[in-house]
Amino acid sequence: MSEKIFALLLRLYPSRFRQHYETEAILLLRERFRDEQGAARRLRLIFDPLFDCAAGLPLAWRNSYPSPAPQPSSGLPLFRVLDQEPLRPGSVFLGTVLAMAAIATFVFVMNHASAYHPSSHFHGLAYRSAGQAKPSVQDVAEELDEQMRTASAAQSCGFEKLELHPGNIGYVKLNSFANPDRCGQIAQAVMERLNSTDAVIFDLRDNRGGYPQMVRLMADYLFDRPVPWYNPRSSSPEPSFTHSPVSGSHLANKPVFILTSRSTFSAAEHFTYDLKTLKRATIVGETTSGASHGSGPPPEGTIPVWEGTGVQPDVKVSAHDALRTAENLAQREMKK
Amino acid sequence: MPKRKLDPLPSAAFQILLALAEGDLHGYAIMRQVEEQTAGKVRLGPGTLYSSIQALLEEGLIQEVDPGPAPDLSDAQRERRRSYRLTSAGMKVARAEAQRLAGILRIARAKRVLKGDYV
Repeated sequence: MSEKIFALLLRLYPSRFRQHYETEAILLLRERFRDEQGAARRLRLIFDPLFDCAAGLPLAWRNSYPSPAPQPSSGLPLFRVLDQEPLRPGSVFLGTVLAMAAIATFVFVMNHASAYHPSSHFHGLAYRSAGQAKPSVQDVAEELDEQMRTASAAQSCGFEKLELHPGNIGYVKLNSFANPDRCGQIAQAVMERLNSTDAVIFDLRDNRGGYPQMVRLMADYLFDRPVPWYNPRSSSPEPSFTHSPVSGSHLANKPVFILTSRSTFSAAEHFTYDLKTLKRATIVGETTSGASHGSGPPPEGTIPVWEGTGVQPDVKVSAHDALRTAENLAQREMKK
Repeated sequence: MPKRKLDPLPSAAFQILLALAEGDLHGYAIMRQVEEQTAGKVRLGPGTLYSSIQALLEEGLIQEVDPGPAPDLSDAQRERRRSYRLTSAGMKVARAEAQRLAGILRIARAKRVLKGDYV
């Protein structure tokens, strides 16, 4: 019993010490067992090694245990192995504990650090509204990232550009009227962004058409009350109206310009025609294509009024000059 | 000069030096001798004993000698059982330590910390 305990305790000693004295030390213990009889003495023998360890261990580790001088051998280079012993269980255990502690620390730090680097967009907004000091690189990167994502989503919905032009003119280059189920939120975001402008230019010069629902959805923002809305695609005889006003929209009283070209098709012509007829927008550019259905005959009863003729602009200029002209007109209008 | 391990001399090391003053002994005999000379108060465990022996060896205060005849041991055990002998340097250190303690004893007596004359 005591011998086993002692053999375990011996593992705490330096390997050189054990090499030298292990056998002898165990022998010594055995002899004491042999010589010391009686329960009290035996009991003391069991506890002795523990006290012995407390006193002997520091001393054992302070000793240097000089190794015997290496024997000069047959001239072959000799590598001296520092410790030929296999790893002791104690070392393995200590290594395991240290590694786990390191991993735990790492995990803790990573979790902790993430709290300081907001990944959600709302944190970014929060710091902006709070008007705090310099944004960190992380924040800027996240904002750019967010903008890229929005931009790519917007482009897939036909919004090629959303710009602020001189004179606080909002410029939207829209190349298609996408399905509002998919792109309604993007359209809404674009229209809300235009709220802060003083005039709006919709550039439909490269617009190939799309969904009439999206055409009306965008028009909703431009009126402060429901207005009759002509939809050539609608099969119902009931007259339809815009869903105006849209809450939060300030676009109803702002000048609107639409840029057109010979390549403005279908739904874009629909948007142009309706806003022109309602005298809500000034059309600048070329007569539209007048080819609502591209190739093939249109379904019965849904032929738009501009079919074949196109929509005439209010200000007839080449498509190339349309933007500059519209900007001039907008600035002039705002000065009035 | 590097600090010496045995300066001041630990009591276990001093006891071992004293035990070896009368002649060569092996580890177990040292233990028994120490127990005897301290009237059973100091019992060196194997760890303390051999650590101290190693330290004394490294300081050159004792040296290993061939084991004497030990009829009750097998050859292998005899091979592992080393005996130790006090060197002259060890004797000097033991004497110096004893004188140091004697000096302390004198002071203790002079200050009447230690009464009686039994030491």
